Amino acid sequence: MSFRRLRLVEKGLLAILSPILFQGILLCLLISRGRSIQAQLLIAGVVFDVALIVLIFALFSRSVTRRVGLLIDNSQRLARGEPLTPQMSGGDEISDLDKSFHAMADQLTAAREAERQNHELMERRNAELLRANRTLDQQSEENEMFVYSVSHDLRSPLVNLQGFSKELGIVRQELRELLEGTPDATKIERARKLADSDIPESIHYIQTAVTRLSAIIDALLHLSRAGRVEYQPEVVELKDTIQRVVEAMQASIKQRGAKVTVQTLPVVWGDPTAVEQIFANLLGNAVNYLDPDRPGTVDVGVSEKIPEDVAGMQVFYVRDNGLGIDEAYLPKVFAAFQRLHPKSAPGEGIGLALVRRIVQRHGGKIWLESTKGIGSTFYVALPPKQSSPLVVAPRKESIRLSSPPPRV
Amino acid sequence: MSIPPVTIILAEDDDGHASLVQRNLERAGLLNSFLRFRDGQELLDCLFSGKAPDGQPISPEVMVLLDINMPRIDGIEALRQIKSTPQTQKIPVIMLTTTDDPREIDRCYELGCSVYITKPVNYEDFIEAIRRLGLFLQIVQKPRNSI
Repeated sequence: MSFRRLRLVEKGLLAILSPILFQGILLCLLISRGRSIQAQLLIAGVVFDVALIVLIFALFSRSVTRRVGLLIDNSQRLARGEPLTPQMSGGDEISDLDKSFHAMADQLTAAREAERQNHELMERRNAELLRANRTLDQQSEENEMFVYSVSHDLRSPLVNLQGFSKELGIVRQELRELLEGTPDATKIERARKLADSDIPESIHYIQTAVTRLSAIIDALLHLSRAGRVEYQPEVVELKDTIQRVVEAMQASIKQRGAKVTVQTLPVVWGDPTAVEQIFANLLGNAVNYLDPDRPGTVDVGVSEKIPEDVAGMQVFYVRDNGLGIDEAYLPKVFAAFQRLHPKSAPGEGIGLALVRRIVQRHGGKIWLESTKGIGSTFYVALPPKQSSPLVVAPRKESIRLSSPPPRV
Repeated sequence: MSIPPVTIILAEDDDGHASLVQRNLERAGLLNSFLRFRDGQELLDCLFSGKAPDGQPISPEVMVLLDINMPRIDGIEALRQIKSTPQTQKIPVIMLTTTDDPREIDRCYELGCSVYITKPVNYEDFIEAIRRLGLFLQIVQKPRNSI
């Protein structure tokens, strides 16, 4: 057993006991020989003792100092978070302490790694939350805008309903007054005017208002249904879908003198009715908002250019050379109840809001490029079968992080 | 005493609303010359050129009734342009609109509108406002139903 492997207490005991042991041997020698040399031997013994003790302590303290030095160094490294020197050999308290330091260092490293991972996770979660928050903010802004538009649109016919029903009351009162006494020519003339022009006008505006209110309510129901209806996704032959849409629109295409071109189209994955709705709306808009001053063309096809955020999806376009959309109105294009050309075609302005909703529920994306006076191109990206997360519950959709905001 | 006739100009895209305003003005006996436009652009063209669409010069005393939601140039922009042009800035403007958004109301007053009225209109208040502004403009009043 080497000296280094001894415990500190053992080393100390050895240092003290070894001279005593040595002196014991000397005493034995004294007893066996004469007393004459006793004194000399004792002196020699003492000298030897002292020398031996000094030697052993020097050895002992040098080793301890060196090893404690290593310990101090390691403890400082630990404090600074640096890697420790290799674990020292030996079985004494100092190497035990060193072992503990190493164990502590290992634990610290593990704790630091865990913390780093937690931190990363938190950063990731944070970014996700921020994104979700932004999406929610945007949606809440859109909702506010939606409610604002709807209430304005509802109030406009209400003003007519209220105003003209009051008018009818006033006219009735006036007729009553005209009928009193003997009606002269002026009174009869006035009564005739009331009956032939004032009353019919009031009735006309009241009827228009009621029709308009009912159309708005239908549109609202329509929108809400688009968010709730359950989709039955399947492989859809887009070529046939577009053909049906174009055939159904034949009358207005002819009336506007438009030329509709359909490129070769692949199959898509989605709910057949919903897919038809998407393209019926886009084609309908394209035809309805053509510029009457020039021959209209509408082109449907597959886009070669696929933006990064819809990588892996099929991108279709519906391009027209129609009126186009002023840059200022681009952000409102997909909002409900926003109409840019109310005179060009009847409607409540929910078509594109519906289309966006359908496309989003198919996990896709819709956007447009448009120049006023030149025309518009609407792009629809639809995911292929395997990755298409057909969202059934609209609630889910509204917090889905992956649903991108419209690129307008 | 010669008082220049005051022209009431209405910019309103809804035909029903326009008709209601006209009927109530008529009933109140405010039979001034009356012009109606369907958007802010038509209104500004008339005010800045000083000519009605038929080419006749408009009276130097005019009062404008403005709807906010109109195609092309909306009521707010029309108001801003009227109030920032020296030639038209003294014209009294009554905002007549379905919007009761306080921010929008504040904005209109900031831009210098004289009165803000929310539709559905209480026509008694509306006529009252016109009369008051009319006094300021010495509006011409004719008896009701006179031909």
